Amino acid sequence: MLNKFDFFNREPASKKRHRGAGGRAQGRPCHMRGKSLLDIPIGEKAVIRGHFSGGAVRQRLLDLGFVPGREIEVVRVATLGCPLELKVAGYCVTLRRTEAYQIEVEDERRG
Amino acid sequence: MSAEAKKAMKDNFLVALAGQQNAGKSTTYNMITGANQHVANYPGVTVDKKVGSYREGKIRYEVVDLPGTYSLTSFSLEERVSREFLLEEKPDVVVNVMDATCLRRSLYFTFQVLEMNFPVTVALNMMDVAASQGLSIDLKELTNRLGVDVVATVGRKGKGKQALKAAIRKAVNQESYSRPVVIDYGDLETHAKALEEQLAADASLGALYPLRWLAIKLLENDSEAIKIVETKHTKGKIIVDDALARRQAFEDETGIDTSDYIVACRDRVAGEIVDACVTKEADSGQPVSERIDRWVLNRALAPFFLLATVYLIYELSIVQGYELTKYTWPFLAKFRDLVAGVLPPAGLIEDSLLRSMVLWMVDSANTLLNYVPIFLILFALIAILEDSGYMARIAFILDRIFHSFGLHGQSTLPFILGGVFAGGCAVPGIMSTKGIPDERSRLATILTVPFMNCLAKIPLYTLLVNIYFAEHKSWAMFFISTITIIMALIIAKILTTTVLKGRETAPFIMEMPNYHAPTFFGVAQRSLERTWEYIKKVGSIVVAVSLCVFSLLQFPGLTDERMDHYGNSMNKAIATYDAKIAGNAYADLATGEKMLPLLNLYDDYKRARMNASGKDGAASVDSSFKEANPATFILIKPRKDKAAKVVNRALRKLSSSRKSLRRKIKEEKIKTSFFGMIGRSLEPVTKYAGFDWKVNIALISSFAARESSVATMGVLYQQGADDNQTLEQRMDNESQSSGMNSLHALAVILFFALYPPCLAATIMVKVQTGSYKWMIFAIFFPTAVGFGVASSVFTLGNAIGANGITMMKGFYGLALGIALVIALVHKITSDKVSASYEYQTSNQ
Repeated sequence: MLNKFDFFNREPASKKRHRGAGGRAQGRPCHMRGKSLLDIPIGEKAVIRGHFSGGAVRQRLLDLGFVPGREIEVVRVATLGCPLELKVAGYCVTLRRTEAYQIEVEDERRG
Repeated sequence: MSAEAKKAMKDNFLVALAGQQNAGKSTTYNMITGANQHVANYPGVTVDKKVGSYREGKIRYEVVDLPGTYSLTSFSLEERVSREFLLEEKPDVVVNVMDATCLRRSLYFTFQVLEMNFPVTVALNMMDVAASQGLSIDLKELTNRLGVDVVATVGRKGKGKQALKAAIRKAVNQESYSRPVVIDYGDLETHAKALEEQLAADASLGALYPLRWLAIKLLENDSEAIKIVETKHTKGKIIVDDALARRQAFEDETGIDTSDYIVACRDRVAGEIVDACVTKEADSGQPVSERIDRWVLNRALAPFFLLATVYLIYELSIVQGYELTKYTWPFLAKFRDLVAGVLPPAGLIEDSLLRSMVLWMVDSANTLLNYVPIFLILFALIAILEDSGYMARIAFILDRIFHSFGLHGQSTLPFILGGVFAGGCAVPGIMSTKGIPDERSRLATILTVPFMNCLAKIPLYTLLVNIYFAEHKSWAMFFISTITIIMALIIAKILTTTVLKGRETAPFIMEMPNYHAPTFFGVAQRSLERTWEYIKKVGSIVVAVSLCVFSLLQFPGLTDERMDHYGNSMNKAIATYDAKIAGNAYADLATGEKMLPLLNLYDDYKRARMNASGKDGAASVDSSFKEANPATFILIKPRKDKAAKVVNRALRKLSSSRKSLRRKIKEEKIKTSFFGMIGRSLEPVTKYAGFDWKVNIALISSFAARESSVATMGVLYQQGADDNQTLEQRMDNESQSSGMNSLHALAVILFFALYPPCLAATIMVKVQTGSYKWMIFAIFFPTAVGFGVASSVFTLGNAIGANGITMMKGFYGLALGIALVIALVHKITSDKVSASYEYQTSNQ
């Protein structure tokens, strides 16, 4: 199992990458090297690495428990494939694809 | 003022109810305040401020229900409103309602309130749900860890009410406030402390705001906090710059975003508390909600469940509700008779102004009140959908479609209330847009909800379909009920890409609530509330406007010459009547002075018999009339009395010629009235859509309230002297002579579907958007669109010689095609965006 406070113990290598892509700057290009949430198949789990969204979206995601280090499960997608239902910390949250791809994750099987 | 002195003189305490969405805040609010509540607005914004109160002896507790927010940052309007209220009003105690099933997340909010240094009492709500999920929470440990009182409640069942009130009482009377939990911000602590010291340099700021909180907010780069410090601290600018520098330094040092770090610190403390207080039973399989959702939200099955739900609502509310109105209508009819009885009696061919005016108003109100049973059922069912948690799932299923057109998943509720499946009302529909977090979508929803088929539009549709599309009835009704949705979506897209383009949008981040069994009280209350809103509309606006319409139709009235002409005709009819019953045994009772009351009695009796239901009803009408008029009843119902029969027959003849004369007068009056003038002066323009002046009048008057359109048409199309002809037949007769055909009808239907919201709805638009500009836009834009569509369809149809049904199919195909193209384009572009960030599998 993953340490839930992984956020504090991350290796320096992964830190460097996030420089400047911080929370408040909206509309910055997103140079994601890892997997985004969209790459996780339905029913699988992954661990949140960081956010590439900004402003209110980022704040709302953090408030809802999308804290880096947390485990997240892709529960299902809607009929037309767009909003995703994600399980985080025991409850379900819906997200559109346009927000989901801004969440960088680590695949649990590899991490 | 010392705390003691303050306490001694205070007999009114301010209690703020704060908490996250879906934590059961409103049920807790209802639980402690009971019925004693009212809704106000926060200054300058459209967020509702719910204020209630309760008493304990001499002490009054005023409870303010703050908007449900996840956090207390300055990103959203609700959060800003809540925060400002807390900072400005400084409540005596903040009751933090927490959801026991997701304690960890709820704690983020609690920490933020505690940081603001308020006396806090925690109401740990939904304990029953937590128990059913196998969670047991150690309240003592939680109280110890948080340093504030924790009360277990079940808001929906009213459990924990006394304990919560006791805790509030204790909190407001506390001498010194025990220091609650403090979050350790790890590496940021040094920065926070340094900022706090700098802030403390200006003593006045410390009295107004908790400094540690301000320091943390500065580090979070909170715009409102920066504003406070800059304006209220003498060295504000320097401190803010320092905070930004410290933020940057921290990020450079650790490579972690400061705000993320702060949230993670809170999350860590929350995690520790949860680990210490919550024990979860060995996994008892999947939660119920998850098991239900596996079927209900199944990717393939979800649309069928949705359609079944919508059909069920339609069947129960509209179909069964109409059945119910058969039982309620007699009460309304009785009310009308009661009013009619109080007013001065009917004149021979012209009623007094007072009588006709009051009866007109009663009639307009009655038509609307007739829908009350339908609305009660409809709103109750919708409340069940909301409370059970399925409404959020509908939003989840439909968000993709709505989002393609610039709307939001949560636009579903307003559209359903507005009448997606034939029957609803735009007023509650527009009201319910409040919940949409996305400003752009919210405005687009407000402006497109009136396109839905509200209950009041149905009578005109049915009328026109029965006359002109009798052979294609089901297809025409299908067209009407779906074209409005398609048009609403297209127009929403047009609006969001043009006039609303600059508005703020928000993502679809919604917590999927667990399924709850709705409570009877909750459902009944919501249903009654929304129905009451509708009745208020009838009581105020519609009645007032019906008065205006009445006067516009009534004045300037007929010339004396014309009145004399009709008077002469009536006199002729009376002469015939007199001749017929001359020498009759009942002649004394039926002629001269007594003729008019008898005639009125005859008409009243006929009407009462028409409204009476069944044999028993008829018998009771008979006996009541007999009792009231013992001498003359025999003339109204002669049975086997030959002489009375003669009088009765003559009466019937006289009554019908009076009716036809009255009708002629009315029609001429309308023709020459102000409204008639307007209708005719518009003809040169409206002829492109095929509307004649009669249709113009009906459509204009329907702006007051849609229901009026059919009533006005009823007055306008009344050539048929024969009483038994329905409006359908009369309009049919008329249209044959005037050359009106199904193409005209289609134009009217299209215009009516896209026509501006009724007056009550436009006022609601004003309330919800907070601007007259949007209200005026909501009137003129749809009129232009409606007229444009109607006239192009009519003109094109005329040019190619197509009939109504062909044009209907053609237009439907065109609209559907446009909608599909928009959806497709949206899909392609959004896929392109997410595809550009596709994970490169080669890295693996």
